[in-house]
Amino acid sequence: MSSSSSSERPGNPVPKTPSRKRTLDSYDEARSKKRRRSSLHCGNVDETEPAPILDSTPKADSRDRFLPSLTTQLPFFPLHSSSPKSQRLARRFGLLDTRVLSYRDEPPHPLVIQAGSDPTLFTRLFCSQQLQSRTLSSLPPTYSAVKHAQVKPIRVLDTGYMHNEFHPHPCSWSSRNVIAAAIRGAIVTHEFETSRVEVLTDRGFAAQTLEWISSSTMAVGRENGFVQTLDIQKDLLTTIGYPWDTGSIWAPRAVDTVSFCPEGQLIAAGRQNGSVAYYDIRARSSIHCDKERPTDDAVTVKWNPDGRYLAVGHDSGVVRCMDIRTFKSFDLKPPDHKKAHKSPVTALAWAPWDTHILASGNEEAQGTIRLWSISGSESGHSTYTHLHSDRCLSEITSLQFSPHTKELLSTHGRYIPHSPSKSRQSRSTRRNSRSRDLLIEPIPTKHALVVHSYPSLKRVYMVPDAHGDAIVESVLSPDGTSIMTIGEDETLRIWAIWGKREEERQRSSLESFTLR
Amino acid sequence: MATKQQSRTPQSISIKGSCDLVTEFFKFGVNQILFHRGVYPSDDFVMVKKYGQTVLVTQDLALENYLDRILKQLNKWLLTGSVTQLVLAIIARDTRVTLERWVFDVTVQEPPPTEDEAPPPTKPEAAIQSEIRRILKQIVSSETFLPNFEDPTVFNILAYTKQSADIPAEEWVDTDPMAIEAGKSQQVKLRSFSTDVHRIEAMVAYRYEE
Repeated sequence: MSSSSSSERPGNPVPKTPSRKRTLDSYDEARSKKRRRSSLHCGNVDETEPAPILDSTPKADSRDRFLPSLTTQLPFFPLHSSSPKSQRLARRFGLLDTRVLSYRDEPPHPLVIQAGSDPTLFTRLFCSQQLQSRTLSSLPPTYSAVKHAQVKPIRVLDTGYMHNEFHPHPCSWSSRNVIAAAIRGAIVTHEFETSRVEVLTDRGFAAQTLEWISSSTMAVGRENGFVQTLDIQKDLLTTIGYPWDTGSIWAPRAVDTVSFCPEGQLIAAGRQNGSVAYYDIRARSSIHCDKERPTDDAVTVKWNPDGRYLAVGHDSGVVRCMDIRTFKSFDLKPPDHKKAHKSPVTALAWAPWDTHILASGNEEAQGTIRLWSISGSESGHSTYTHLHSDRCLSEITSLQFSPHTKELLSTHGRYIPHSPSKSRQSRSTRRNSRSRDLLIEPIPTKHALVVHSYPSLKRVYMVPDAHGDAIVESVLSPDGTSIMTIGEDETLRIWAIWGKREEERQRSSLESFTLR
Repeated sequence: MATKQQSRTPQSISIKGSCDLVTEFFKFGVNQILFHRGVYPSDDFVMVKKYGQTVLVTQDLALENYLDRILKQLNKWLLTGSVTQLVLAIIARDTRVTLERWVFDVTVQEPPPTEDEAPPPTKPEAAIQSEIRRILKQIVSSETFLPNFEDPTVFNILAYTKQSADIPAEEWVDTDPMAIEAGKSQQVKLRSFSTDVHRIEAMVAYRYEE
């Protein structure tokens, strides 16, 4: 029989045995012969024989694919997709001895190029991003930032004649879309919609830092240690904090940073003598002053969104957190270090979607971003956990959480070649050393905007060389989608980074339909 | 203990070689599928000479790392013989519906009992390579009958292991098999290949709704 079939094969494609042809309908002739032959081999299938290629009849695959070694013909029985009970039964009878496993992480998402954006620019950016990631850690999944971010700023403002001397937190963006910046003592406001710029003539001593506390009022911290509120509509300046609140008159006491807490109408002001004072703007007086770290410049203060905690970043690298209900402070320390950071903590950010999550970053040559989780019990005792850290190859000057997605943006200053002696320099000497020409190596995160994913802190998106010089500070727009950066190249730049949250969009589209 | 290991050495070497070969096949097979099924944009792939033909391999570092991590673990499982099936599921990104399942059955072939000490005849590598080449070509050609994807897709790799398998708990989690409902599924058997130790049978199941 086998000899006859092999004699048929080479020359004649036409079947010779009509009786067999009727039983085998949908296959071409060569395959039907193989099938026939193998059936005549009584199940002893030749190893080298290729299996039929396009065999789409369900009958051919009636053998169970979950139990590959089973040769008997079982009806198809989907073991895994069945109920827990039948799974248990199957396991007992030895039918199910496999586990189905998948890898923990999702595979990286492919990049989707939006119709509106410039594809060539986008791919070019992506390529450069990939090149950089060869030297850094891997760059992976990406959602909001990659979809929405634009590689060019949507607006660039010139700070003009202003000298490039900036304080750490010089600007703020109000809910009315007005940007205010303290630039060399003067206060400059810029209305986003109308692009109208106004320079507020300064009275008294220079403004160092400011923050909006309502749509028309801002809190201003001054070089001489006064904390004032300025109503720009009524042009009304009210002093609420005095330099002597902090106790010592001789120590340098310029206000470096202010933060406003809408919950308790409180302003926290960090001064250069290391004190943190709390002012009630209604009472116009100091209610508390924390002087536990004298001479350690409080560089950054930030209230958490529900106004319970205040995070303070010090010049020495210490990050303190104070519970407003007890006025008790505690230092945040990673498990194996004495301090949170090695150098001035210039960047602090609380996550708007989880009021216990704090991110901190420092101004070292090789800055580190750390994530903390602060939790407090009702008895007033607060604890914290160090969640994660990531090293960057340049100074971290500010951090911003996106209110819509779990992403964190960092802005970067310059890269200073690492030397141990330099990292112990204090902030003021560092600032002077900046003006000198340093040997700056081309390191990717230098002068860049980087979007990290939370909580892994993987780099999701990056705008390399966002500014021509170091970025000093960033602020989030009131709608939470754009970022304004202020750089030492004498420009303010506004970047579209994030999109709106998906659910918000869906809800609004649902609301536009009415059901009868 | 030591003598026992020594006596097993020649066999274990061939097992290791076979595992590496199978792992490498999966790497190129998965890349081939991801490219031809359009899961990742075609710009991400570069041509590489392999198995005497050009195959496409991703240059997206994130994806490369991801696959590497999976394949490393697969290699370990192959060495202990604890993996029975590997499935590449292609899923609609938004609805999470499984659209295609590329199933690779892994069978460990028992060496035939030999009375004398003569080593079993080994399969020449050229023969294995030509079998692999045929499977890869079949993956390309199955484009012709597989339905087109309308929406963006993602993929997932599932490993079917034995209960006794050693599983890194941090990295691998139990999951549902992402099966396509039996009534809506069409299955096509692909070619198979075998080394001295393993036999890989390939199959693709796809969602087909009238």
